[in-house]
Amino acid sequence: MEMIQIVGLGLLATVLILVVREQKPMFAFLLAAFTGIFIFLYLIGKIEIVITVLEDLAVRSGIPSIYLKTILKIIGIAYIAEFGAQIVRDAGQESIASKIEFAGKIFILVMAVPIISVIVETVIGLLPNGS
Amino acid sequence: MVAWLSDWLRDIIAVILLAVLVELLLPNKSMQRYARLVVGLFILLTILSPILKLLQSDVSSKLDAGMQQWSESQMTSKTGMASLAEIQQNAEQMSEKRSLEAAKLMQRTLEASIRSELIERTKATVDSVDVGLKWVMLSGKQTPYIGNVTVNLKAAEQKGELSKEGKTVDDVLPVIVEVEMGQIGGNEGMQQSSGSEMDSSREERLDGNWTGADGALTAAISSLIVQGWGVDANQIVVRQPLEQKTSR
Repeated sequence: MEMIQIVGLGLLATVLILVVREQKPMFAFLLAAFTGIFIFLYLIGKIEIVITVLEDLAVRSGIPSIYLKTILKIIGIAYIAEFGAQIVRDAGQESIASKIEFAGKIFILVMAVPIISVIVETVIGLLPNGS
Repeated sequence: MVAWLSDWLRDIIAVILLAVLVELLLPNKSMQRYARLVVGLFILLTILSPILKLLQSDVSSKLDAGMQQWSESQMTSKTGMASLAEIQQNAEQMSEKRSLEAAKLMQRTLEASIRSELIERTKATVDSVDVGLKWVMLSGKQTPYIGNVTVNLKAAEQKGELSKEGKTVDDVLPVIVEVEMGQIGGNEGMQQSSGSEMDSSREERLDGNWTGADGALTAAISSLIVQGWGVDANQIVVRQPLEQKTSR
């Protein structure tokens, strides 16, 4: 039923936006943005369930908690960046949207820095020492 | 050996499952590439974990430290938005300051009005009036009221004497001013003290370089103040500079 609600909301918003766009493009954009925010916030609650499952899996299998934390951060960054970028893209600012996505990518890569450094150190340690 | 192997395999399987779930959760393709890199590094780390254990024992602590540093730099780079508590605290401080200013203004106005009233009604030679404010909690607010009133009279007689002597006027006048200022400053500190010391401060306001004015004048002045401003008669002091000090 929730799926029907969301689709209905989306269709309603689309029709309204099509009607309003002729007269006031500004309000059409605002309507689109708020519909997006509403659906996003609605779905965040659902994502929580998936995350709980992930946490459960991680705890039971004994993965270091730092792995899970990093992965959750990556998911969060990806979602927020994507959301912001799409709203901006709707407003027609393609360049700013791509910058937001770029920032998201950079932050995800920064997450990888400690892991990469540990692996590199290990590999260097594995190599025979000079001789 | 078998237990260790099964542990290792279980770790790898769990991380790979996690990776698959993460890929499902990610919103779009372009993000997926980057996330896949990080998750792949995690899988690599898990597979390498026996070797890592063999070479160096503190991999996880190193990872922890690295992540900590990262998240700390995140935290500090966030520009400080004042929290609600801070804002409320600031507001309290500001309103306190404002009420203090208002009280000071009230004090000055009161002093001026009492002085002019006294001069007009009693024809006394009033030099200055000090009003000490006290604070009381009224419906959760600090509200000032008049705690005590000190009326400083001019040393009326000395004027006539000193003007006859001529030369000594120059020597004496600065001394009067100095004594008065010091005493007033001290009294202000006294008047801010708590109500329990009120009687002692009343005594102190009369000692030293000051003496009480004559009875009739004091009674007239204090009755005027009691009528006009509703101050307790015990808290009113009328005084004038001592003759000995000034004629020295």
